[in-house]
Amino acid sequence: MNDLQSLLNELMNNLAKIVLDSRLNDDIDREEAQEIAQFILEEKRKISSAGQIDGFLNKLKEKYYFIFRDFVDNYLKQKEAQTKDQQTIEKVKQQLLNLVN
Amino acid sequence: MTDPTVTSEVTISQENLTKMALELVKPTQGGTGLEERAVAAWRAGQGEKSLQMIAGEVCPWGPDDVIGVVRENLSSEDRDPRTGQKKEPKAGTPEGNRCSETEQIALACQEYLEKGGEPPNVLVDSVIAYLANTPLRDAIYNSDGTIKDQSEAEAIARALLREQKTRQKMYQFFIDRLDPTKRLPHEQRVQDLRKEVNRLRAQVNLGVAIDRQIDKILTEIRTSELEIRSDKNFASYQQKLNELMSLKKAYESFTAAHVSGSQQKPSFRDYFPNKFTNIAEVHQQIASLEQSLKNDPEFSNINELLSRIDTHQKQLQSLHAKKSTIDSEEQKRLTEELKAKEAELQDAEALLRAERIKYASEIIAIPKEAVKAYLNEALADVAASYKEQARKDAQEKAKQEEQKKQEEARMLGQAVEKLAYALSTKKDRKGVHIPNRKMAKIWLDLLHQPGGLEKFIGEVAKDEQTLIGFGLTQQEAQLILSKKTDPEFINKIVGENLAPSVLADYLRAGGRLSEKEVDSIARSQWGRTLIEKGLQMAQERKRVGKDLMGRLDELRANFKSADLLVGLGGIGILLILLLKLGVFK
Repeated sequence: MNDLQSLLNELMNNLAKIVLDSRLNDDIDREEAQEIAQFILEEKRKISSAGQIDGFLNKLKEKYYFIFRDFVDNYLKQKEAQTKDQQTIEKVKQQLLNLVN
Repeated sequence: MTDPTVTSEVTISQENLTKMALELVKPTQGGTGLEERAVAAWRAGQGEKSLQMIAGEVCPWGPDDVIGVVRENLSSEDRDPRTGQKKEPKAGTPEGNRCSETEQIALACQEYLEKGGEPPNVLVDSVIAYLANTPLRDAIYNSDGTIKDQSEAEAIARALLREQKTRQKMYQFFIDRLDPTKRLPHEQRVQDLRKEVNRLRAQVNLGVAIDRQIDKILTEIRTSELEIRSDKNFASYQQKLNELMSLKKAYESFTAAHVSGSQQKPSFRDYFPNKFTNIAEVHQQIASLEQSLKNDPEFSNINELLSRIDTHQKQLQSLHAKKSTIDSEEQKRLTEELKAKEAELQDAEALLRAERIKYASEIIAIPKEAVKAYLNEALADVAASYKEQARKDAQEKAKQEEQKKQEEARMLGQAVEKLAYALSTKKDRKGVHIPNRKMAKIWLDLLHQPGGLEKFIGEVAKDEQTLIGFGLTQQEAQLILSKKTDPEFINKIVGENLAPSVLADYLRAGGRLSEKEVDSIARSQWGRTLIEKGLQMAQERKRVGKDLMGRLDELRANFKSADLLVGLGGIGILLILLLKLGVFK
């Protein structure tokens, strides 16, 4: 399984949990759950690179705001923090390399 | 319960018929089986599969689930102890046929939803039958109800079943109606009532069983007695028994007389026969008789029967004692309760049967209802599009009518202007329009008459040719002709514009109205308006004429100083200007 695939699998698990929770709490009915699940699966099939995931999530948040708002916001924040950390590590690495050279 | 109604399968009370009818129109509630399966898939780390189940892309139930839920709800048979599932109903019975047809449709739906591809034939046939009640009827059926072309009918049904919307609806119905957790509302009620009825029956039957046992023992006692009487030694036994009883009785009396202590001692001879000389002999005879009755082999059968009777008597005593512990009032209450519960059970069984029939119908109807939902949606779209088109058409029509109205108003204004110009002006020798008093007078004479306005316009717009003669185009002439009897046209256009214009020209040309003429015209409202407007127009035209003349003098002076006036023919310019400015209107 490649990185994108495992990323999407994890995402699908998270989104399925949100849909199921909403359904079991009766926040949405069966027909709404069906519509949301169809939307997620259709959009997921269009994704061919990790870069497209943010767009997909924002679309999802926009369309079903009250259901996915918290998850998408947290997901994107977490991702931003990870990117920042990565950049800092890269910067430090570069500085160390410069010192060595 | 009143007036029970008998159906082919059950007897249903009237009140339960009503209850049943209400139950039958309630939509069937789906269970939570789909969500349970989706959660199970999610727990197994298959989030996408879980979503696919919810989205309707993956059928959550297999053939075993489908058969299980259909039999659970449609069969009245016992459960198979090995599988715990209800047994298949007996083939050939109404229940068996119903269950089998339902299973067939349910399995076909399951297969189609899971595997996709071509819809199974059983679904296609069901849809063809349904289409007889839809707008597509004429495309498939002849007027006598036969199918026009089987392959074409199948093609239409298949196309409808393949529609995405149809599949979605089919999935929704399938999930709701074939949820493995689904149970009919009266199934549990019937089971509970059966248990209760059995318990009550056992309680009520206890008293009856004791009575039966008592009867049986009494019969046996009577039989034994008869057997004793028919024994060959019974006479001898009876004789000895009688002798024994007699001796015992005499002995008891004799002893009692002794014990009473009366002054006179009882005489032995008074109590006992002569064969006994003393009491010891009586004792010996009693013992001998007892011994003989008890042990004499000739009486063994009688003694055995007597012993049996004795045992039965003991049993009877015990049963009577047992029966007396069962309160008869309680027994009565239990019997009544049992009757009520049995009636309740019968009604509940009837309701359950009705629910089973309804449930089977709902499953059999899945393909039809899915197609129906699709067709309704598609037809609603068509209706909406028709409505939108009709709205646009109406808008366009209103716009065109408005344009036509405006164009007509413009044309009418132009035609009236032309008429006003032609009716009471004439060209002088230089071709300039000047008020024509003579013509104006002719028209005014018409206006003086009663119904003057109508007569005036009737003459002006005598026919198309007359109007063309006044300089109108054919279209303008036709428009005036179409309006000449319209009261609004007569009052507003003719009365307030055309007629006053004639009067204004008359006055401008130096014409005068006598007092009588003014009096005659002013009798009517339109006549007063005519005079007021006519005077107003005449004054206005005079004022504009003077004003223009003044400006022209100024212009002429300028032209003179520039020595241009002669060269350009100043008077010609003047007339052109006057015409352009509408002085002669």
